[in-house]
Amino acid sequence: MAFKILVAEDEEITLNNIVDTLQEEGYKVAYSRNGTEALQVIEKDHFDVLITDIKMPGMSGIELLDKVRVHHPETEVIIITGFGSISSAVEAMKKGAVDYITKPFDLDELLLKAGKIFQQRSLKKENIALRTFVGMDKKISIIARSEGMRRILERVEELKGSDVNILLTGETGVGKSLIAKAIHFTGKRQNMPFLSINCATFTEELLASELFGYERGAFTGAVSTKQGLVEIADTGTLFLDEIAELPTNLQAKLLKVVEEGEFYRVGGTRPIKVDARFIAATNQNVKRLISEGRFREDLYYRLNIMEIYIPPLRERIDDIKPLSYFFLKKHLPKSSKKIAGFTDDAMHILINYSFPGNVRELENIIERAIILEKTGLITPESLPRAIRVLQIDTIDPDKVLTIDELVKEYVEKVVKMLGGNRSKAAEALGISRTSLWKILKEE
Amino acid sequence: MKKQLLFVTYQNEDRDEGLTYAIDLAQTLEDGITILLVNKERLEERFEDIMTAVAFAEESEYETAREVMRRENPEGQSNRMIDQCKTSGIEANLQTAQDGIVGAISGFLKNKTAVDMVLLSPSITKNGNMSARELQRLVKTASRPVVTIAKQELQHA
Repeated sequence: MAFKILVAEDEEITLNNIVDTLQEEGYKVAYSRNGTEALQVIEKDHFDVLITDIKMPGMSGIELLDKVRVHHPETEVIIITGFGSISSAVEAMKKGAVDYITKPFDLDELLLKAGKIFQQRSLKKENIALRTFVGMDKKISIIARSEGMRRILERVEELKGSDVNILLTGETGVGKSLIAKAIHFTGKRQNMPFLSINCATFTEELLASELFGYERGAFTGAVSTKQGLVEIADTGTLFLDEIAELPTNLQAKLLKVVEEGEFYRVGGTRPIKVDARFIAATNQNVKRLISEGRFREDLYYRLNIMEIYIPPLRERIDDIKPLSYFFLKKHLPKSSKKIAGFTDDAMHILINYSFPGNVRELENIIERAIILEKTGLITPESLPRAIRVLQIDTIDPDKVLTIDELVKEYVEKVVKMLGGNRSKAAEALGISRTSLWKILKEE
Repeated sequence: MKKQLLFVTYQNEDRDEGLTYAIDLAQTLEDGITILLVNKERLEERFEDIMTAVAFAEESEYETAREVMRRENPEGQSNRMIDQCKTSGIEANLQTAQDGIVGAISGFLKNKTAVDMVLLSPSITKNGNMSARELQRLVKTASRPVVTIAKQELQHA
């Protein structure tokens, strides 16, 4: 985001000098010739710094400072004061001006002061980024033995140099937020803020305040201006979990940010520019929600520049064993037990369970098993009774198999189980080798 | 708006089978549970009850006969299911629907995007209470993962 400065000065020559110098240095500069006009400009746009003369026709610099400190506290103010009126500069500093310069002034000094604020702002931003990382493990472990997960990690690797918005889809508990973190912490913005919000856990009003912030006095209780996550995520990434739960009103607001990098705080009248990358996630069929008019198509296409589908755990059986050992290793230190692994029966139950709650459920099962286990290996008795005595199958509505597909999948499993020996597989299945060949070759 | 698991069960004596599993899963996912009770009074079940009561009455076991005929207050048992959820720290609420399991679930899901998945209790999946065709239709219309819970013998003890 470009650093924006507003200059309020009634002397034409001084004004031109300041504006030209700042622009040459690369700052985005706006100007006005009196305090009232300056206040109107600042009401309509967001500025990082206001440089104002004290003596101006109409509203004085001090009055302007008072109003800006109250209504736009995020804007820093530098006062320009005539030589010999240092007392007014002191008064201005007491009222919250960040610095002052005396006339006639050295333009290099002005640049130095603006540069100092710019640096402070950047440090503040870095600080926010660091604070968002507190308690967050930047070293992300993703277990990917299955082909499906390996493909996802390859995609994450390909995205390293890119900055596009991404939509992560997949059932609840598959690890969408983990993939979102992996994308951020391996990408170009890895040292900038990573923030996340679950759109399903807030009411519409709260969600609007959390996302877009609010201006002082926007509603009862808004005693001071608050920055929203979109604003804090500037230069970084905002992860919007459960995006399908975003109310229609907020979808329109979010679209504006995603499309134009611009938004208004709740109760605000000035657009605020941001440069944030968006990673959204959902476990819903968004296309179906679009056809039912519950999700904006334009927002979907803006967020879905690239879609990554994370398959449920039951479709990546190869990951169950390594994940089980990973969680065992992760949670074992919390207990004083020595558990080396799993009995074959316990692993058989885990591999044959359909995990509607996906990886999150597996982690929970292992954590519980560690607490209950009395031997040196996790046994079936330590696994939840329900998954031992009930048969639990999950059917994915988007992946209903036809009978032919089901037959092919079964035949492939048998061939694999018999080490690829097709003659043995045909015999075991009670069909001829020709029939087996026909089934396997079908697309 | 908290995410929900939709636990669907028939309004009969087996209604709470599978609820413990649903509670476990809800705890893992930090979801709430909506219990959808579908009324399905089977004529043959009622007939069986009457014949059993008659058999006991003929043997002068009047109290048992009365017991068989005294259908448990459905509200009482439903409240126990809610209490069971709440004791486990799970937010729960109860909805009822009339016969036609697919229609009842689809109707419920139409405006409830917060439902994560549909869990079918063994009372629905056992004894052919639900045909493969009905299940297929449900899977297509629900647009959520449909979890079938059925009783099985312990195979890998």
